[in-house]
Amino acid sequence: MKQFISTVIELKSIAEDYFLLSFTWIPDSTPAAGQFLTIRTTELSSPLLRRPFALSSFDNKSKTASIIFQKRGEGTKIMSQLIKGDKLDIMGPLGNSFSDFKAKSDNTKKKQVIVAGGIGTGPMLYLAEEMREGGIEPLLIVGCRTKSLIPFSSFNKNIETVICTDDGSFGFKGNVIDYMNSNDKLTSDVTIYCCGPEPMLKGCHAYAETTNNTCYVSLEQMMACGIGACMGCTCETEGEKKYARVCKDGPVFKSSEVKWT
Amino acid sequence: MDLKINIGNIQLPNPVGTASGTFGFGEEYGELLDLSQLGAIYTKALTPMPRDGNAVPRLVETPSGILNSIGLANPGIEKFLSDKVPFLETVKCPVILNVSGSTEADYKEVIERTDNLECIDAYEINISCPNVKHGGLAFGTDPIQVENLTGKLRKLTVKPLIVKLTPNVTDISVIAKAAEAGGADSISCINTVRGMVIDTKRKQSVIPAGISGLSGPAIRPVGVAAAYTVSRAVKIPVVGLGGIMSADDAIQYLLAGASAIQVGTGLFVDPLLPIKVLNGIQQYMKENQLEKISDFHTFIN
Repeated sequence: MKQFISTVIELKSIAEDYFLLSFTWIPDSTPAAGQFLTIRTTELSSPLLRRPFALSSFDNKSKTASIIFQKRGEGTKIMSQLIKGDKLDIMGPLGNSFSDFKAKSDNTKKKQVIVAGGIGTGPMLYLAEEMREGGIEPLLIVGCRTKSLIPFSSFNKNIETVICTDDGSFGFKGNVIDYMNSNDKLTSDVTIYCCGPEPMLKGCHAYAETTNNTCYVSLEQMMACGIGACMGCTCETEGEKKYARVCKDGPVFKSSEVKWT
Repeated sequence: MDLKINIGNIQLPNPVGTASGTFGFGEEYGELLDLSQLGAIYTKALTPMPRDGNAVPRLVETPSGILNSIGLANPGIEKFLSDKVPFLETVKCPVILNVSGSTEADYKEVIERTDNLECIDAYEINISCPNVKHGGLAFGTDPIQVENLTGKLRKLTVKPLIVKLTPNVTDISVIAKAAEAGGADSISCINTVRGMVIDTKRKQSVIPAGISGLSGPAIRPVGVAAAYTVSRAVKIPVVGLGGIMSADDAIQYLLAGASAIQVGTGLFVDPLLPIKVLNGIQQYMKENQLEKISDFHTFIN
């Protein structure tokens, strides 16, 4: 974890209100899929807090990284106006990664299913890429409300990808859980990795429970410090401790360890 | 130029500390900044038993501030001794343990069980947390209870007692005087300001606990006014905090009468802020030919 000044390489619009921001990274640091960073969006006192974003790619050779963000509030509105050469105050990499769990489970025989939705798509593109580079062929399932929100240019053609839209304007009609239920091949031996809105995370967890599979989820929570000091971004867990810190103990958790409400 | 300040029987190397609740016990931020440069670490509040903290979400951003209801989540004394003390023993700046509880016995127990630790240089007594149902704020708004509690804790330790006050009272100077009469060595002010944010779509408080604590630059003028008021009411040194985001903000507190300051919410925005504030204070002292921190107190009546 370091705080550093990065330079914007490119800001690209990839779907309606969705942007891909590429920027320089620092030497001696290789963030893994699932890890995040925080950006200070302004020198002014409002919006005040740094904004957290999971990395959507990292290139170790050129030491460049990217995030995908949605223009949603004041902070991301400022970020949507960044241009090449602008300076970014970054803190990262923060939190754990999907790799922490991959290493533990080490079960490559199972089909690795990566489920992404909305702004949760960023880290899952990175995870899919990380797996592909490691010789694993994952299945990437992306859920969007409608076609205009699909970041087509961000997908890698070499990764098996299924796109689901709620309104059926592109790909499979229905949400990602509908798709998984409709696909008989998925019911046995899979490991699921999910990042997206809470109903999607819950759905993936429930699906994994029903099919007796393991599921890992990346959680989102309002964050202040981002490094585990302030106890602000906790989530309820089933474990010995009632709460875990999303920023430090997570953001990736085994879904059975999260208390779903 | 002399940056040192005295609080009770100890000396802080400089006036810039980190506010309780924003800095944990220092381990996390220790990766980002050089702790040895700090005037003091004011730790996360410690209670005898572990506290899970309040329901989530515990935070929401507000205009130039944040509203929180963490609920004094902390590991309790046992885990503090086994997990946190070994780290604190390596810290090269003064460590001030923030003490909290629901009853008088809680405050006593924390001090009794930690007083022998060399790594703890002083205590900050939190009688001002708005986010716990019992104790906390309830102690801090009644001058009789403040004097009584401070007096009882005074008997337990020779280490300095810094009593942390809430701004959520009619007249903070009355509470400050009560703490001083009870034997406090210093007053820190302010804790968070009571606040609330309502989600109009769901027609409920964003934070499940309801009324919570507001911090950040939004409350800075409230904090400066409190430091000004308290420093005129008592003879003991005042530690000012609330919304410090720059050296200039910290200097306002010093000019108002504070002898030391704490950076809290500002750390979330810039972890290096304490160092920048310290450098800025030194620069200001040089430019204004101030020799020592008490020289700040000669300008405003």
